[in-house]
Amino acid sequence: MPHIAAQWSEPVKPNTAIASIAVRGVSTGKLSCLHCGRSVATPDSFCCSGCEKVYHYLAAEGLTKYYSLLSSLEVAAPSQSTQDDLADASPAAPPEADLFRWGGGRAVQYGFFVPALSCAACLWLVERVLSPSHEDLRDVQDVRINLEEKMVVVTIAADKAAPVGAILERLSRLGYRALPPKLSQSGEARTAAARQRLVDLGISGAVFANVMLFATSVYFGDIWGMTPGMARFFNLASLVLAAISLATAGRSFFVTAWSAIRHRIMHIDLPIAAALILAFSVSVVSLITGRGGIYFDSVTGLIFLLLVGRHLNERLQIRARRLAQAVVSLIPAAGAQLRPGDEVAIKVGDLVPADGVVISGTSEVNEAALTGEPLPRVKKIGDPVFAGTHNVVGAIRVRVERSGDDCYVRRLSQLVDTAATRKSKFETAAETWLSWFVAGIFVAAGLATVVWFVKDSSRIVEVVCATLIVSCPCALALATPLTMATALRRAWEHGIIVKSSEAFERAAGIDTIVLDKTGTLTTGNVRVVGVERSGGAAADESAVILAVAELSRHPVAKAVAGYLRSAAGREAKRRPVVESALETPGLGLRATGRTESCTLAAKERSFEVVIGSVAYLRSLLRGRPALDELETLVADAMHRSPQVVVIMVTFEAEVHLQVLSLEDRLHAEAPALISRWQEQGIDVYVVSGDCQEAVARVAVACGLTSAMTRYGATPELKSEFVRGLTAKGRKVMMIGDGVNDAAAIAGADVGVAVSGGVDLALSSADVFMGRTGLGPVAQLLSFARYNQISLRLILSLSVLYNVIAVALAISGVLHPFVAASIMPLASLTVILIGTLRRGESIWKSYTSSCPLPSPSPVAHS
Amino acid sequence: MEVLYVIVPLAVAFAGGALMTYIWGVRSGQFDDMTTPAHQILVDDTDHTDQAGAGASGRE
Repeated sequence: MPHIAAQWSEPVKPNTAIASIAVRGVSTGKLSCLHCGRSVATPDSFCCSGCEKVYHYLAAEGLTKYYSLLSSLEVAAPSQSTQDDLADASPAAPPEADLFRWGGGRAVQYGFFVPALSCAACLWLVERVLSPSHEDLRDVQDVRINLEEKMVVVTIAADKAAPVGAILERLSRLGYRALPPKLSQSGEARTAAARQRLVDLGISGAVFANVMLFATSVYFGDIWGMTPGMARFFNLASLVLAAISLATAGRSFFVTAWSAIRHRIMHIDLPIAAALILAFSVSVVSLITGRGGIYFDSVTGLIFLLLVGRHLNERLQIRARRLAQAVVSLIPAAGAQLRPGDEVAIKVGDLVPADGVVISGTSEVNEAALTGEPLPRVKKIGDPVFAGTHNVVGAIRVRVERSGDDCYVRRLSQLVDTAATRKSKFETAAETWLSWFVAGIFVAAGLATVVWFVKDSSRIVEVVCATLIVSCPCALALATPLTMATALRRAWEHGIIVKSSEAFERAAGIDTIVLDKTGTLTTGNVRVVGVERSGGAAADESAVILAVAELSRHPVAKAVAGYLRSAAGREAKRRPVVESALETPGLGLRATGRTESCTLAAKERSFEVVIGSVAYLRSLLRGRPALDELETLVADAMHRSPQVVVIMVTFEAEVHLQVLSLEDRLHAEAPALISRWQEQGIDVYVVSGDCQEAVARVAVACGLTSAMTRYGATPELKSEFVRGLTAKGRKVMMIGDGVNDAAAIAGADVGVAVSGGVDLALSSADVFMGRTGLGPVAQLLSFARYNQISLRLILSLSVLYNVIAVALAISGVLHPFVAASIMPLASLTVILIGTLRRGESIWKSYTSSCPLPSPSPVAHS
Repeated sequence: MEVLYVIVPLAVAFAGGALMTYIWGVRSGQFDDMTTPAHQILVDDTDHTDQAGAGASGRE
């Protein structure tokens, strides 16, 4: 294959970063990335090219104050290691400005959702970089940054062309991914709605406080003597205020209730609206006639408390949904312009922009995002490549076959949509209780009519009205939003982001858990689990291997580098100089260089390092005595794990061989948790796209029988499997991380995307975890059940209050004061229980975030 | 106690004034973002020397 040699003989230049810093005269001497502070192998360097790019951009723009700001805030800059590829892969494709349109009038606003915005330093940086003092941004009138919503809103005069491209480019050079705000309504409309809600809260709160003051005066006036004229005056004042509250803040209840009537559905706002109108009109009549109960305090209190509960709930859910949007399209921007038949060059580190076939070059492509397989696949001429996968080794040319919406990854997202629509309707606890409650109210009203028809027919209207009013499900309506809001917040504080309170309730009733293997049960990255070697290690051996391994993006090389860093510790010696490196797709990496000799201090000695597959090393060692040694080492290492990598270091003439066993490690807590779930009567399945052998190994380690595993599952099969279970009436929780799990996640009763997951998985999930491992899932399950108990407790108590009030009302002895105090009492109980039942013990049980055991201490250097 | 006929409307009027001020605050966007301003004051805005010395200063 001569063309490969032609492409791959160019040497890798590893030391450019160090050289350029030396020129700029910056030296901290610390072994941490100059940008993000992550530990690195050599002083004054970067952990990745992304960090390096951002650092140099900031330096060129004179924005290095950013770093002093960061250190004064005691935070670190976000690492760019996951983003450099994206920045590389998107050439100047003109973005569609309309996507970012936020709102408009005389000046047009553009919104950019920037998930990485986190602290004051980000704020400072973005303000500087987007300031109108830049030539290409002179039309910018205003830049507003909202850290809570992670939005940057830029105002531009309406008659000027929007420099959206320039803004995006500047943000991406800072290392910030900016996404379209993806709003169902315009940003302006959302702001207006949020403001209206605050106004409503303010009005109803002020009215409630004042009316309560008048009402209590009247109640106590009853006891201690108050002139009827004064009482009437107070009630009139209450009437005016209650009317204001009803007409402004209470409007939303009537709107929802009306639409519920039109669509003939039961909604909690329906009885609330009915009670509000009834209570208000009865009170007005009582005020005019001078007899009967006056309930203005209940009316205004009800409106205020309900709005508070809704406001809290809504804010949390908006935040959760925004976070869920922190998901980018997998396909690089360039992909949209490609047409079938086009040819594209794909560099090392790029994302593949479209589905196609390799027409020249050889590489290894990481398809983990699509298949969940941790190791990249070799792609030769004629092999298919898919959009969204990651080219890690060599440059290739690809002829596009399908682009844009026809890509495999896009078709998967359509699969997700259909799976999501098939999701069964879930009746929340509040809904179930409400339908019973409403029925109960009618029975009570009927009963009151009958009783008073017999006893004293002149009081029928008064008593029935009182019954209906006091039975208003105020606490019931407050219970769910408030309990759920506090529960969602608590989960959030522990890194579990639940998109809807409904998902939270569903999680309590789960009886089947389906797990993806790679990235969910396991860490998703191969790690070195053991070393086989013969003879002692040479001095500097680790240092030269590390220097070479760090040149590659290949997961195996990364695993080797990671292992050496943790095993060898920091060596303050001079870094070996790599002079040439050649990475051959499918085989390995071969590099030569020089390093200082330890024995003769003045002399340098040359070295050669080969990190590669067994086949590669066999071919290199053919006919040499070291071949036998290799075979013995490989045979030994194979006992530990079927995946091995061979490292050969040659100093002058001496050859050192070692064979490293690799494995995708299981999350340490997984076996214990799985057996605990099984004890609780939950069926646990593992469904993976990986091969039978790999799945079986994991299943055995987790104590699962082969009946509970499925291997070689495509995204369609995974989704089908979950659907099969739900069709049988099982309540399924699907836990996964990749695009291949997305459809199954969307179709499950509760879809969970674990930390590090891919965008599509995140956007289709109901819950996503900010921490790795299965610990958070266990916490979610426990907390959801715990919370369900709290909710039932609160609902029962609020019903109990209503039953007492209704009983009193029917018996005709209900004094308005009792009616008025029962309502806030019930609400207070709801709030109290909601805040007291925190479930602290649940959170403590797995907070150690389950550190993975370090590689077994094997003899090394 | 007749003074209440004067005092109560007066008190309600005051409360109404406070409420109007609050509504004005909401409408003018003062409650739109409760997080960012708290962070913004942490950053000194006065020194423009840093911008002038582009590239010269390193990480402090």
